[in-house]
Amino acid sequence: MVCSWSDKCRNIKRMRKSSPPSSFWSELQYSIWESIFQRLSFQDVLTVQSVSTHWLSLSKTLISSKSHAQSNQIPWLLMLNPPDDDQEHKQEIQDYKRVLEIDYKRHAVEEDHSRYTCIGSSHGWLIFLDHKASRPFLVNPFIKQVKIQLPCLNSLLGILQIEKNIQLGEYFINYYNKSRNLVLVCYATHLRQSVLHKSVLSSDPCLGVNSLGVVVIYGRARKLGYCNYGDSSWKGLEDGKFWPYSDIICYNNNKLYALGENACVEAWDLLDGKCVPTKTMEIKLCFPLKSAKMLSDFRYLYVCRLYLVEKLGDLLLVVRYIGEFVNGDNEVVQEDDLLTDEDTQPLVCPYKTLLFHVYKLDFDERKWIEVESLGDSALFLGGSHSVSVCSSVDSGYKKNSIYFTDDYWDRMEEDYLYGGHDMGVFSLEDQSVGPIYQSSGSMKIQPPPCWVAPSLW
Amino acid sequence: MASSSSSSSTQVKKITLKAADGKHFEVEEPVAMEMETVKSFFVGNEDAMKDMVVPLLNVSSEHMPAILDFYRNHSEFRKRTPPPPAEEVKAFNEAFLENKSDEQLMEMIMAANFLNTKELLNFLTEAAANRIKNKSVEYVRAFFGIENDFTPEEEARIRAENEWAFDGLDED
Repeated sequence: MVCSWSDKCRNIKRMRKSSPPSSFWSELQYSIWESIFQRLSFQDVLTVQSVSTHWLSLSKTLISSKSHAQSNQIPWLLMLNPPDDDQEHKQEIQDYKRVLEIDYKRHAVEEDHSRYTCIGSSHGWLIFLDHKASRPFLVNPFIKQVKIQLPCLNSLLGILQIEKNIQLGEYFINYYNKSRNLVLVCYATHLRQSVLHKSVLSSDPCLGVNSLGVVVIYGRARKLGYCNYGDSSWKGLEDGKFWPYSDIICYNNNKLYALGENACVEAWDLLDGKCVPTKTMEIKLCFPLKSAKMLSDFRYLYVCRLYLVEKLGDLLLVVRYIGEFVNGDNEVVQEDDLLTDEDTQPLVCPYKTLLFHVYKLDFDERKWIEVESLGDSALFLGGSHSVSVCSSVDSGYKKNSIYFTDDYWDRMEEDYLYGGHDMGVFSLEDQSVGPIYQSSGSMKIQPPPCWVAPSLW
Repeated sequence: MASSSSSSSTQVKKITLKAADGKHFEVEEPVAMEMETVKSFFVGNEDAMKDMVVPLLNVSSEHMPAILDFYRNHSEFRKRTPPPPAEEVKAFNEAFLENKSDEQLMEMIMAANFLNTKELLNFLTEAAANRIKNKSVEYVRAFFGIENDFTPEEEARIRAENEWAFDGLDED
């Protein structure tokens, strides 16, 4: 337990009667301070900010240089509560190296971990939903003892209460219909569908929590909501037109971009997390023909998911095609074919991502233009804040590729043999899907892994 | 300067270092060369070794024996096969820091910085960081002898801004 600020202030100890003149230490080069500061915890660095104006600027420099160094690093693959018993799997994920295993009981603290769902990650922070209280909160897997509590979502959603039936693994959601003065009870197999679909942060709270804004895609209608740090409630972005939304991203000085119905794009200025977001852009677009055709030709065989990603200033639309039933040879099969007359046991053909299409937004022509190659970049998609990484040197990822984790929430919990398994690397070069680590993509993993940016600490 | 030349058959060259207060230290060449500052003194000037005294302007003679001891031991640790057990290195390091006041530690950081030796500097800055970990602002100010130049309002504002990181997890 970290001692509180006031405890720290109470114990003032004078260490020696005469201190060396302060000019003596101010002569120390920045590199020495940096070397000392680097070894302190995040909390310690914040503590020493109030030592003097010089130290305040030293620690701010350190934090911003860490942030800069981190910005182009590839995300870690986060595994929550990894199974202990499967040694082979454990070895494989360790071989991948960039896997972060955390026991989320430790971070969410409460014993009753069935209360919490990890919704995703953004800027190195995990967004959890405490469904009993309908309150999201943020924790940082790298910084101990910090939890940023966000307001309760109930009033935004018109929900009175959420209860979980442990036996059935289902949720009962009580809605209050104001105009008819009625309480409606709905069932949900997972909370992303009816409560919180996705959430992103405007910036890393480590850079200054007061400029933090949090944006959510919420409810069955998948509208947008937001709150600023310190707010007591969520507010809807009522001027958002193109709901249901599929993805949201924040970048470029607190700008929010949202991908709405038919791949239309809207943008808001979050204004440093202090005011009501103001809408700055609204582009009505046509869903790319090639992808639309693919989806209509293969209806019932594939579902698609859409993502919005920023890559070196470009805004990308990524269409992910998930085969509903895919056999061992990566062939999409009809559900009816799974059970033949001879077999009494149906074949296990889990859903699987097989293809991606990538488009770039042409702001002038106002249309999506197909992108054949991502160059040196790689994209990281899933339940997390969609990001791109670009490096001209070899930095441990496959270029011109899309790394993805499972976010097919509707079917994730239907079978005990799969769910959370659908992750891999798609190469735009040869249009193939490969594993992230050896056995990735083949076994059930619950809760599903997601990407998390390396933390500043 | 000729003192070491006659004693043994396996001759180790010695270099004379002069601390800030004028005191001379005779040091075996490989140990002296651990210090980049000394090394750079001789670059392109190898003939000078025997006669020249290397002035170390920022290092007081009080700390020289300890610093030289650190170099001797750590270069031996590096050369040894198999490498020494971690406990042995740890024990040496702990003994090295024992009885060193905060002020002495900071003076040695200045010295290590002047001598330009990464290993010693990293070791000492880590020790300094360990001593201020989880301490109060007032403690850190006293440790480094730094004067608070904030107005009370400014200081209160910065503390309030950072309060969130100290809330702990048991808030609710």
